[in-house]
Amino acid sequence: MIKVFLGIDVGTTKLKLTLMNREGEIIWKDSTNIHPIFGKNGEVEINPYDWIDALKKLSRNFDLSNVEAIGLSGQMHSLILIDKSGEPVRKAILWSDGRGKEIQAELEESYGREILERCGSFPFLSFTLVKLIYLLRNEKSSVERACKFCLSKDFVGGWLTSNYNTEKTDASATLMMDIDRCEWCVNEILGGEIPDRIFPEIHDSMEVRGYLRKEAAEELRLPAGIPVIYGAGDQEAAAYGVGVIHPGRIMFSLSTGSQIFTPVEERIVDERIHNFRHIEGIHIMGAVQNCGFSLNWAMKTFGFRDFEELNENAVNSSPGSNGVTFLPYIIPERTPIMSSDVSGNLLNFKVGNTRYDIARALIEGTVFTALDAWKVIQEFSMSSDERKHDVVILGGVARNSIVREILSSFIKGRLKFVREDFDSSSYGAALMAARAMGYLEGVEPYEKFLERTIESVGSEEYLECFERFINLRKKMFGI
Amino acid sequence: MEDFLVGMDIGTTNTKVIIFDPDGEQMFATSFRTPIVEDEKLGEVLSTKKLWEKIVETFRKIPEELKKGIRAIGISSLGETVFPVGDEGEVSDGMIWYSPLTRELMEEYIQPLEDLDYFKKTGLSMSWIFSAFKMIYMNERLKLPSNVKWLDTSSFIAYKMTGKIAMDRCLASRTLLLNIKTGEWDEDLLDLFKIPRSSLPELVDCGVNRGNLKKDVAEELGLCRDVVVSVAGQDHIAGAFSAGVFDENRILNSTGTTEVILWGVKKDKLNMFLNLKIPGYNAGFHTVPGFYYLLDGLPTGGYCVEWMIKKVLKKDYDILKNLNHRKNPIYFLPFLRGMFMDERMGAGFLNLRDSNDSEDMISSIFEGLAFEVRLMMDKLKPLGLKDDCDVIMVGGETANDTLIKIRASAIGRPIQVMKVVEATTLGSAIVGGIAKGMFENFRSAFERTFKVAKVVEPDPEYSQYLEEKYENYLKIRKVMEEVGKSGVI
Repeated sequence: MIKVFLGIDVGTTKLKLTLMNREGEIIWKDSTNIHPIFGKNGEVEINPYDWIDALKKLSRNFDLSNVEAIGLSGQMHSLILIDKSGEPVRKAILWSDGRGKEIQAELEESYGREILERCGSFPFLSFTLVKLIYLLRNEKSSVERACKFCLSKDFVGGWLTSNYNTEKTDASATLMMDIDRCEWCVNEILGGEIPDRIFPEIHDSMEVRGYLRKEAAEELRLPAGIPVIYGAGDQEAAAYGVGVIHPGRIMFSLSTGSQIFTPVEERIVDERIHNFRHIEGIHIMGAVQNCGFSLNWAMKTFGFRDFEELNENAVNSSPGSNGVTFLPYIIPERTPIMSSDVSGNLLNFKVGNTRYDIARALIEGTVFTALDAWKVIQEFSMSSDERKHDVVILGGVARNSIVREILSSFIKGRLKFVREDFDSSSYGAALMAARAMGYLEGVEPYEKFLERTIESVGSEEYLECFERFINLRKKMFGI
Repeated sequence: MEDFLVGMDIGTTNTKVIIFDPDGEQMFATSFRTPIVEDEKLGEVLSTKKLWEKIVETFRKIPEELKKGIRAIGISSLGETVFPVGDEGEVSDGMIWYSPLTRELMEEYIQPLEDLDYFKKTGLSMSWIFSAFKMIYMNERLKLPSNVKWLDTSSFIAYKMTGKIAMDRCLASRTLLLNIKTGEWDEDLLDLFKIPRSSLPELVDCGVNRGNLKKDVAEELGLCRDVVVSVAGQDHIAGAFSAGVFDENRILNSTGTTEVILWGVKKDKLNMFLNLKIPGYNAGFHTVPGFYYLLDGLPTGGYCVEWMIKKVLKKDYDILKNLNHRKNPIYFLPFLRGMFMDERMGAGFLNLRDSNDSEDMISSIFEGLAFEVRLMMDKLKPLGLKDDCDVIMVGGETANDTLIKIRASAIGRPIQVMKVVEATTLGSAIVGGIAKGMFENFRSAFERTFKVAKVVEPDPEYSQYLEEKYENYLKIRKVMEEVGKSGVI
């Protein structure tokens, strides 16, 4: 029987599976929706067992009896508190939860620089640290009842193997780990506010977490006792899946949010940039909140049915959208402006402007916001000297022909567009499992899933529009 | 048999012909698209030939039983557009009022006009649209003979109907050649523009009898020869008359494509205005003799709503019926033709949040327009506009109750909506009646015909919310004005 590897991606709105063979080909993939619960005070929570239920549900859709090993990836920064038996003491608080703004401000003010220097990022609301302190101050009993905290994929991994510990990539994204030493250091900075007992062990991503429990194996119809690899945060797993493992390559994803990810030799101390651990070494990342999320909102609000209709309209306008400019900051922004004091703006439309111009402005504003972060990461990327990049581009927003046109006008180098149906995180998780078992070394199996590659020499076509966009933003928000 | 009056209003988009009885009740209404065509030499022009043809066609459509009762025709029209009439009666097309072709020409005259302190003479702030620039431009492009006479749109139609040449002071106020203090052509301005006195017609008040229909015209239109023709002046001002806005306790909000605030004042207030100069406001002769108007306008008022619904959302006006006005964080700047006379910064939706939807956007448009109306009214306070004055609203936006409610709440006082939607055309019709002697005077004509359809009261809760939002709106507006000037756009 052909042995296969299962990758599980524990996402915010979806749980995804990829089944890969020893050649790196996809045998089967599937996904199911997850429904976070939104509260009035910005709460975004989920019952961690929803992920387990989703996994059980999907496992019924395919024969999984020949799986050889399992890899995991998951949304980063979330907080799950568990008791001794691995039971959650409360719902999981997801990265997008809006509570703790005052804590973020306090951390920024008192410890911002130190946290940046030791943990690799400037404090931002999304990080686990903020959520943990929020609970300590507002719901202490939950923390007291917990024996450990874990992250989303580690909860699922714990359910599979009884080992709820974590690994370097996810640990670095909590903002509590010394990024060089890979040890928890937050109590040294904050003076012991967080009980030491609740920190999980930090392991290597490729290490075996444990072996599949009999009960779990029965429920999922998987072979009992197969190894489960620790896995990685969804960004690192995705980068691993598309071959962005060592310096010199960049992953640029444009979906709900946008991330620009590149491995580096040495970490970079810069408030606009996140430094996280990669599967091997360190990577930097720029994170943009207002990407597909804003574009979807704007599309709906301005009456465009879907992405296709938006594009059909936009192609009838011209670069620069005949003067109309969309600043898409309907939610707080991270790289590079790092500010909550922003808003969405559709500016400078006149009688002569049409629906075409509005459509194009929405697209341009969205991609310019991502490119603004791109420029920061590009400065620090290994290949910046020759200004030629090897860039893997992912995500639904990058499917748009105008987005592609703008990207290839800005980015000089080899732009590899990945097929839309390719789920890089669960693929990366499966690939980690395969490599941990000694397969697929020295090959780049993701190349099978490239939709097209553009050798771009860049152009200046959009330079003026981009500058206008940036200048207008500076005038509007002072940043 | 009953007596009827015809009101004719030649607007930028449509020309309306409506028949009223002497109590202001509408008997018959029709309209046609105003024939604006492209001319090789002059750009967009109002075609005199087509306009007249359309008028003739329209009169033929009026039912015979009504036609027999018609006693007078009153005409109002868009401003600034002028036509040269040769001594044999031949007329050229006239550049449309908004034509940008005279912009450069205006630049040459700014300093000399400043030297003459033109504002104190004319009550006008600088713009390329005034007729004087069009006269010079057309003279250069068409090489006109020296003996032409210039007529505005209403006077041109009155001339076609009666054969008599004259211009009313209301429309003459938009030429930049009329001295608002004397009510006569200003010799200094004529010298500056080198426009001979002889090429300008005799000045008359609105409501004077311009004469009876010429025999051939009466036959062409199917009307009696004793029908009297008169001119009611520029559209908004004719509307102000029918709304009774010549009394200083009333103010007009005329709506449609544009959004206008108009106040009727006597000479003492006019003199105050000429000394104070309130940005945005222009002055001119009112349709009602002895009064002046002060007028400020937003070029794109109701058009913003139309633009959003029809051009952007591609929806029907029906969506307004169920619109739920909610408090929202959005600020809408309604400058679809550019901010003020500075065209660089257009309209904008500001401060959008992920919790907002299309309804919030439309609400913010209504609010933005209300804030502009509030601002235009606030600017008149130094001249003595009272807080408790009557606000009369006419025109296209009166059909929208949500919009009026927001507006009433933003200005903090009730809004009276006139029963007749076409207040301008009613104003024109009753001016015709005055010329015919069917009313004793302007005041009694207004009192007999003015009817209120509804009074919309402010909502106290929204008033408070909008009061706070208005303060921020003014700040944001200022910021955007500076952003526009900075050249970023």
